Amino acid sequence: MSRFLFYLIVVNMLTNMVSITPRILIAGSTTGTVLSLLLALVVGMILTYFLINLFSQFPGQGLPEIIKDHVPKGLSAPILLFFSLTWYFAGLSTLVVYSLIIFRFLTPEMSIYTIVLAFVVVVTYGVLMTSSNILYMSEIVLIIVFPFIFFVQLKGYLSSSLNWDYVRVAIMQINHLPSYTSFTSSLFIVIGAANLIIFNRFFTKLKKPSRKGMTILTLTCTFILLTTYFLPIGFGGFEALNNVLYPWIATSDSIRMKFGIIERIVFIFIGAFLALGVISMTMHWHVSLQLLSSVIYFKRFKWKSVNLTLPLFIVFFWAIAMYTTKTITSNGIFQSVQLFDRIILPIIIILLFVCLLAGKKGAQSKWPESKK
Amino acid sequence: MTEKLAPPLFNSLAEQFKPTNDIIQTSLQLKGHCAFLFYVKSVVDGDKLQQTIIRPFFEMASEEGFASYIQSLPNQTDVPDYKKLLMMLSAGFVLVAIDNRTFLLNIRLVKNNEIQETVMEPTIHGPQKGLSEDVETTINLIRQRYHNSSLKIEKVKKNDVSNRAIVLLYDDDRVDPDVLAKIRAKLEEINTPLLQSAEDLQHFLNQSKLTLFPTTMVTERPDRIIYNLVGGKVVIAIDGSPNVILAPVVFFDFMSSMEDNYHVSLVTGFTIMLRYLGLFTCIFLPSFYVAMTSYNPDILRIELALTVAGSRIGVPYPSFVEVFFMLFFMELLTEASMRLPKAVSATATTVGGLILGTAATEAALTSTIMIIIISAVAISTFVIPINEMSFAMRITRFILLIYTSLFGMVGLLVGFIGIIMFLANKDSLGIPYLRISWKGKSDELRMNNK
Amino acid sequence: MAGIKKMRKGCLLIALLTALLLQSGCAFKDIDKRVFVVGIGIDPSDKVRNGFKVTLKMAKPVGNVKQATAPVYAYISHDSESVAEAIRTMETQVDKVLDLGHNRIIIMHRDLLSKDLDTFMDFFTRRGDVQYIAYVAVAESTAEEAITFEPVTETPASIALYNYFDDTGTESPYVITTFLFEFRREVLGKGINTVMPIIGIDKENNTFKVDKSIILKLGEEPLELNSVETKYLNSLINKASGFSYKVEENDMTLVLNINEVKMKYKIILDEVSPRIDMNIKKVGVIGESDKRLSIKHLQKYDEIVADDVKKKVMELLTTLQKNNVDPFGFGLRYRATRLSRKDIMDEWDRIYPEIEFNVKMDIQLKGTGAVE
Repeated sequence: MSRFLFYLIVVNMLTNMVSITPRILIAGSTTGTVLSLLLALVVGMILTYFLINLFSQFPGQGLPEIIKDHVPKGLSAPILLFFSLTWYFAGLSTLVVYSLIIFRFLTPEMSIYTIVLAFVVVVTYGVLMTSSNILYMSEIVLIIVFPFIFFVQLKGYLSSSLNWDYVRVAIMQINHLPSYTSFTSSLFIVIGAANLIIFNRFFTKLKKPSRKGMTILTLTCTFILLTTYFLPIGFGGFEALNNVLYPWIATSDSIRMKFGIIERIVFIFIGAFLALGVISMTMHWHVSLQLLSSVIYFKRFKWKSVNLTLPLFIVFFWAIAMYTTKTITSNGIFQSVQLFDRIILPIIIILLFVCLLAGKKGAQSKWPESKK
Repeated sequence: MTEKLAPPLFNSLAEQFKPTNDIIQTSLQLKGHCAFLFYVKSVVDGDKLQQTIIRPFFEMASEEGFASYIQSLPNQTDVPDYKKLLMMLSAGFVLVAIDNRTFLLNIRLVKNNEIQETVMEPTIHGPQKGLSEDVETTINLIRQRYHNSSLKIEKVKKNDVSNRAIVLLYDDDRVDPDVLAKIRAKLEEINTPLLQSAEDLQHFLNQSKLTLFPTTMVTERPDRIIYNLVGGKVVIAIDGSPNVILAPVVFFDFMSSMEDNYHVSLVTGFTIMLRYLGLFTCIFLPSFYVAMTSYNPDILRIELALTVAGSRIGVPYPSFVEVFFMLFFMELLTEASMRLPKAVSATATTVGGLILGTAATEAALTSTIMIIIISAVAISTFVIPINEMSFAMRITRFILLIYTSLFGMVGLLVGFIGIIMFLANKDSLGIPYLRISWKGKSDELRMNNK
Repeated sequence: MAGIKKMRKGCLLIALLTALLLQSGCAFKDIDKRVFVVGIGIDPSDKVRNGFKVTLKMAKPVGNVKQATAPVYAYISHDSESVAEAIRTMETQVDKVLDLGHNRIIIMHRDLLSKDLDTFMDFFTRRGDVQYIAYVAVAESTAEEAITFEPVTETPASIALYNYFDDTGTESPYVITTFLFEFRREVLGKGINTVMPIIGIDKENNTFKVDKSIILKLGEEPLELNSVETKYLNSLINKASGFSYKVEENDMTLVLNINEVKMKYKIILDEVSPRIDMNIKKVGVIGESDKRLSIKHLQKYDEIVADDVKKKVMELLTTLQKNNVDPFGFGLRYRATRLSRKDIMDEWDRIYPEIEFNVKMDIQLKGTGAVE
């Protein structure tokens, strides 16, 4: 399995650690989150396996290319638009959550516009990069950031203030049937492979997932998913965490580095995740932009030989983002992410599989003809 | 006996060179035998001329014998067209006419062929001598270190005024043909009136006009050249420059010193780590100072925060002005000590560094912490082994500083990601500029054309 | 293309520089324009009914810390109906920005503990910038006195109270450390009662005296432990070392230094009466003796000590049980080892007053110190 594929999944997974997802999981802690987590892990890994498997049959092709020939244009255009919108939303929710976190914990005096503005230049540049360069970049950032994240988690697990009894209380909720919301939210964490929808263009030699690759992936996913849910509970208590907006920020603020250069680990944590958030946003919006431009592209909209379609879209992206970040409340983003996970995510997965299978069928039926 | 007249070619050549004083148009005569010489005195090796042409002429019995002797000399070449002939004469060729035949002999006098000391990248271990300003000597130096028939040497003709030789060197077995084609095309595209040195040529090889990070490397170390030849890179040498250009290069090439290969592994590991820490320090530290003093003092420990706050008492400017101010003076100091003669530069550093630094804190223009930071930054900038990268990082530092002054801690982090993005988005002749290579450098270079 | 890129970059640079010039915004606050709050004390107010009196300890930056002789701390206090209001008002009294980010200690008046804690503690956890690793403590007399007191050992830029509670300074089994996040999770959760240190002042020696503790009971009078009980509790809960113990046997007096404590317990229900099996292991050396000791008899000393310590531990446990407080978190453990059901904590509330303790003490003396 290509290491870059691994990054796609891990970035998606890690970014969700600080975002809304842990809160959704903890909100459902007495109504079956534990089983949902396990179920989501199994289902997520199976889905990931099939996704990679299917995409590996279209080397170097993104979804637009795959379905172009085999699905009528009247149908493919709305599908691609829908995907584009959902990926835009995924990136947007990251932006909103991170802006709110920065606003609350890092620079409370700064206006939210300024915070979003800090992202604009860098993310815009990133979104317009080629898929391969985005992957190279995310590899470097991951390598820089991952030790810090791992360090924080390790420090958390080894801390004497971590009360394992709370974790056990949480595990003891296993006798509740899985809840749909928790299930889809945890599924969203592990389904990073869906980014292949565009990034498959980079993988010209994607192989079927190997056993070793899947094992490493499953282990990583299990570790991160369980840490996401259980470590905050060990630090924040079982009931007490229910009304905490960002459980992971509170958790990392509870870990102390006695002799470190920086005593409060929360800053290392926010820093590391800020970097990941930028990467994740870049990836999501890159996918969104590419999908969008595969449907709508103004060939004549030019200025001195530079086509302005993509910049135009980017301007729209940021305009909407600015407006949303300014107006949305922290409960609003919570509700909308929950809604996204509950309804849109299953539709995405089903639709994606349908498209891929249609593409595969189309390719197979075409194959004998071209052979002749 | 009628005197033989010089061929008409000679006269027209002489006409061309007028009013230059150092051309010699002369004839050798002995018992009716006659030969004509035409050369530019200042670029021709007089002794060699005497040894190989003039003396044999008087020892030979016949014109035919002399002509065939001349023809068998190893430095004899055919006479090219008129324009080229002019160029070659000015480079030190001698035109000999016997009877009706003309020969062109290479009897160049090359004064700049001594081997230079390594100045830009000095090391303790490894070769101490660099290349030569004479391209022939340079090629000789490289060939003598790389005995392999697959080493190809290819002359590129450029139509600039100086008519210097530009030479491509590469290992045919290892080079990426796409890259080679790209370099040839690039060289072809260049149509500047004057090319002076490797650095000069490097500017024209860069893709866009506004560049910050070098995408080709200029080096003077023969061991680096060989190392990169083996890595499948192309070496471009230009006559008259003691440096050559290596292409394509990636970011990590600029962070590696040749000495890394000469030490034991742990020492190498330590120095490499030191270098990267230095890189991060020199980019981060000034911005970090701004972010922590003006946006997030709670990041620091309370003791340090109070010390910083205390040392800033009475400083009239906001932190970013303070940093800009000090960085500006530091850059001035660096620049000044580079330009000054060696004897004076030590004084400049002392005056600037010591006296200015203490006086600035005494006068409460900057905080003491700031002085520490600036010195740390100045030192760590020089840890970067290749000068060009260290220059680029000096500018990057300012960009990050601006971004941090605007957006605080967020700006610092996001700006840093931005720098990584910018580097990752760059390419050097089609090779991604910044990419982690797990398989070692040479494999990584060839990864793209699998 | 290159030209346009260049133009774009140029425009960007100019825009950034202009923005820098305009940077007089609200977020940019230099460190010397901030004043760091390094301690917060909360008392019930005499002036405002049901209100609070909030006292702040602020660190004044000094030019040269090493040469500073005068006190470098300033104190202000204000009465108001709520903590937030009091702090807001105090912001108008100080010429600099109040920065709560460095505050590491919150001291409460004892009378506040029986009131509704949520109302004022909420302020600290709701604000993003107050550290979760701040210490929470109770003042013996008033919080104001504890906060404003400057012991002889206090130096500039090093706050004496912090040194008691972080493990870098003094380490003593009498000092219990409670972090804000622990406080929060235990107050808001069920099954464990928070223990907090009591900060007293020794007027004679002009020092602090932190050797007692108090156990919180939500909505009821808290239980105060004396210094011996505190020592035992701390050595069991937090495995605090440096525990010294005096044994008198016949005419011989021994003082032991215990430097390693291990404690494990199990709640057993299935037999006739519910009981808690507690295994305690202490390892140490003999620190002082008035007789010549023989290494051969170490085992004998072990037994003597074990009997004695066991008695003390039993006393502590029954006191706690009698007062119906549970600083060990037995209730939490009970809950953590049983599958979740609705009234599990009510069950425990019935069991706890009748539960029996079965303490097994294992003392291992490793030597007689440096001399025999």
